[in-house]
Amino acid sequence: MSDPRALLPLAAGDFQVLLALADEPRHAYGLATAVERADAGGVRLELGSLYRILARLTTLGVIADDGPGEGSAREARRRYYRLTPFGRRVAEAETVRLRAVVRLARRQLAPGKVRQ
Amino acid sequence: MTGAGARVFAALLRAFPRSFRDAYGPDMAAAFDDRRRAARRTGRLAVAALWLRTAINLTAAGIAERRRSSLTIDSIALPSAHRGHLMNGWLQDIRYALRRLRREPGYALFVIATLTLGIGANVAVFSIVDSVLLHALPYDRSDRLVGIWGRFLPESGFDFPQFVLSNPEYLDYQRDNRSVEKVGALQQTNMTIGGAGEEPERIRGAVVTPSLFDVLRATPARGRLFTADDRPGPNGVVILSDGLWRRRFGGRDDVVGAQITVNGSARTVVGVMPKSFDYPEGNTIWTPLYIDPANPGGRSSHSTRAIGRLKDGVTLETAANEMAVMMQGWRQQYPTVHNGHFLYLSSMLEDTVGDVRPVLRLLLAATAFLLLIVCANVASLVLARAERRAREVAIRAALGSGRWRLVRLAALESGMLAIAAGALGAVLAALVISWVRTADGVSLPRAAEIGVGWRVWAFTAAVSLLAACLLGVLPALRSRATRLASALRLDTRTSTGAGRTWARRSLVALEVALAVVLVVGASLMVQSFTRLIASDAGFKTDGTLLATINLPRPAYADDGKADAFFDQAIDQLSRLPGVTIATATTTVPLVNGVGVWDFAIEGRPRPGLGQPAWNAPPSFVRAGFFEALRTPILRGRAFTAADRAGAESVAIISQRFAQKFFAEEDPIGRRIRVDGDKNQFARIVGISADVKDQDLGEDARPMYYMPQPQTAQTINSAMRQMTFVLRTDGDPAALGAPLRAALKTIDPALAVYGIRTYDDAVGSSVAQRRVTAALLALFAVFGLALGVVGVYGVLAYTVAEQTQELGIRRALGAPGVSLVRLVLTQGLVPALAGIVAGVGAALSASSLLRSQLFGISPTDATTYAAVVGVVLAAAVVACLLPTRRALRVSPLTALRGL
Repeated sequence: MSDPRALLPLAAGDFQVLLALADEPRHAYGLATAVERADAGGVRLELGSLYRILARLTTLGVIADDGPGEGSAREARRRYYRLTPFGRRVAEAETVRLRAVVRLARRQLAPGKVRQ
Repeated sequence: MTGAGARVFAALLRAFPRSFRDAYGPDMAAAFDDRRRAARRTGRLAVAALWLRTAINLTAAGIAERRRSSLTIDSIALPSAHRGHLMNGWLQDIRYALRRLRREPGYALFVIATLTLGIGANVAVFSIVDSVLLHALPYDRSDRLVGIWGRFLPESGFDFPQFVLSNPEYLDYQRDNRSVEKVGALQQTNMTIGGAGEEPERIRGAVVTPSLFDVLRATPARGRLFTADDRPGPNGVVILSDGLWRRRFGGRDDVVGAQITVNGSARTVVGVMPKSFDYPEGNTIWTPLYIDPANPGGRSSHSTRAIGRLKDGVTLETAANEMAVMMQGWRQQYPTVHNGHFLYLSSMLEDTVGDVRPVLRLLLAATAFLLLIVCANVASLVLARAERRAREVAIRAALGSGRWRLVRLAALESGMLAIAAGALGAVLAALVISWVRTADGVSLPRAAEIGVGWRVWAFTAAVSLLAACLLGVLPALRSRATRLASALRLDTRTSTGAGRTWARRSLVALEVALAVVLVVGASLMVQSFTRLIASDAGFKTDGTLLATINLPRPAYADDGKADAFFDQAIDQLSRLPGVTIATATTTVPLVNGVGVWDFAIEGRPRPGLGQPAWNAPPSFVRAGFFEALRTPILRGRAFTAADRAGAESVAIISQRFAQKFFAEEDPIGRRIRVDGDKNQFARIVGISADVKDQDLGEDARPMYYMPQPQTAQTINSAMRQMTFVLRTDGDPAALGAPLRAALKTIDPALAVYGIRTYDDAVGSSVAQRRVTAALLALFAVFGLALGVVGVYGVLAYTVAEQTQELGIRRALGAPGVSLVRLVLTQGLVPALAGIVAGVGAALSASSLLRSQLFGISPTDATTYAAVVGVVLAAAVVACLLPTRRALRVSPLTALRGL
């Protein structure tokens, strides 16, 4: 699994999750709120959809289960997810790809219709 | 989270597969708990909204998770197969493959269902072909058996490609040939069994020489066969078939030696044949035939069928050459008889099944086409699935699954599908076969022998294996062709390998082409059949009941008594409720006939050697015959009750008879007679419309009719075997019981048989054509449906693949029309290619159909145009759904992946 580009393009939800995990490991609820906060467009990740994404990304080796939190009983019930090094490369590769896509879109779309 | 909430949430989680629940369930519950706490701070309404949203989402996501076949944990991480535990690995893989198929039930069901139909149809038709055409006849060394036939070329005055022998011909061949170790002769006839106080029954019987059983190497199940000392006629001996013995004599052991009544006289049963012995086909009783060498009968009196067994080491060709030499001698010895008339040999298998061979070949070809369509369809489905899973396979390989393991998995999966389809196909075939064997009026020779032999099993296995290879090898080849790394790199959603698309489109074109051939063939056959049924046969079968009797000689030896019986019977039958006309005849068109008889025309010299002989099938009928059959009288009059014994002998000829024998003069008023010095001339009083009396697909023959009450004077003997024809304005079938009862009151000892409506009788004479047309139509509908599914599949896939491209085009303001054009082109180009190829193939295969068609050319332009129209329309319909989907692609959808 040397080439992260094999997984591109990422689904929108997948990418958002990767971005939300980029700075620190998060548990599911924290992840969902982080995604909702980050995306002003109002993307809401419902529970089932979120866990399908988590399961898929785990399978792909993009994120990993970081185990339960520490401290309170509530923390112990939560599982934390973190970005793997491969996952970080996937997210970076997606960013590179999107940059290229945006460049292409700017060139291709009629100038009058492009919002700067 | 506690209590009811926890239970509801747990129930909702059940939408997910168990493995998913096990892995994430507790964490999901915890996360939901967190969300609920957050919502509580906003208010009750927010909590309710959260529950609603979560419930809907969990259900939808759970179902989606279940349906998803790939990229889940358990499907990606293969169960590890340890070296040294090979069986263990196999079992694991089988379980695993089953699980994967369960996850895609639609795919599995579609593949199994179509393959089942394809395999089932092929196995059924193949086992019929195998039993009827390929299997040896059920006699020892049956390949050595030959039929000995006479042939009349037109220069003989007759035109019969295959005719029975005369006794002198039989005896001469028996004496002079050196190729055949034994010959046997037989005459087929109907016999009445049952004496005074017993229920009389009309059965099929054969009068056979003792040598006939030797030729066939048959042995009796009980008792003995005939010996050279057995003589025919009253107080003689008979042999029973297994069926007759069980049905009429209760399978009693003491039947051998018992006396039974046959044709009004006592006979002794000397033997019972085994169940397997069925010669001639459908025969139930055998009586001995003795041909007296001192007094064999006329050389031109043909009534004896002959078979022989070739000596060891003699080929059919050698025997045929010997026959040809022998015939040159006969021609010199008997120049008048053997002018354009000679004997020839043919293999007995050919005699038995020669007629149905083209039909069965046609059906076999059609089913093979059907299987090809099924395979092409499944192959394109498999290719699509393989493409969808290319990444999964690549990831698997990356996770360390060996390529062999992956191929093995794919093979297992397809193998299981093929095995399931093969088994179901065999069941389907068994159902079809049992229907063919028992259905009324399918009328296949050797139908009783149709079964499933080793060849059929081998065929089934081969077909299933072929399917399995197609299913399994294609993806395997693909995985070999694709370098794993490149599969990972490829974005399967946006880049389309030209080769793959080309392969799928070729398959679709192939499917459409095969479907076109099938549909063309089927519609030609169906049209041919409907034209045949609707063709003017010269008579009408509706509302008519038939029933046959044979007045036994001993009781009705006097011609006058026989005549009186028919007068009384017809009088009583015409009084039955609903009967409008009651009559009787020796011949019923398409049902029975009396053969072709010579006749003479008064005042004209007989035709010389090499001129067409004066012969035609005669029909001896009672008054009301033409009215009952609705055969028009074109000139003159029909027979009336006044055409009685003692009155002037009269005759009616058919139009074709008039054209052939009275081309230059008016036949009305001229006199003809059945050949023979004692026979009276009969004055022609009418000309009737032509009647197709033998086959609806053949031209009508010249025919002549004479009143049956006058047969004592016109042919010196009353005709005693007659078929009653009752025309009714009600339901003819309901007349069966009253008819039987009415005849019983006149003569309780009389056997009445063949009671059936005329429609039924004619129906079985066209049954083979009907079945062929129906089967072909069925195959064609199925083939067309599969072709449409194929077109739809490839297009739907293409559209799904091009969502992004379509979206970008939308975003750039491309009008809907141009998108529709783009999509339709992709779907319709392979369909059109298929149609062109199919029309070409159908045209070049048209000769196969020609002999099966009636009233329509195998290259009928209207049919071709209609088929092209239908297939094209079907292809357009198949394209509509994907096109609509393409139109709905919003520019946003396309950019979402960006």
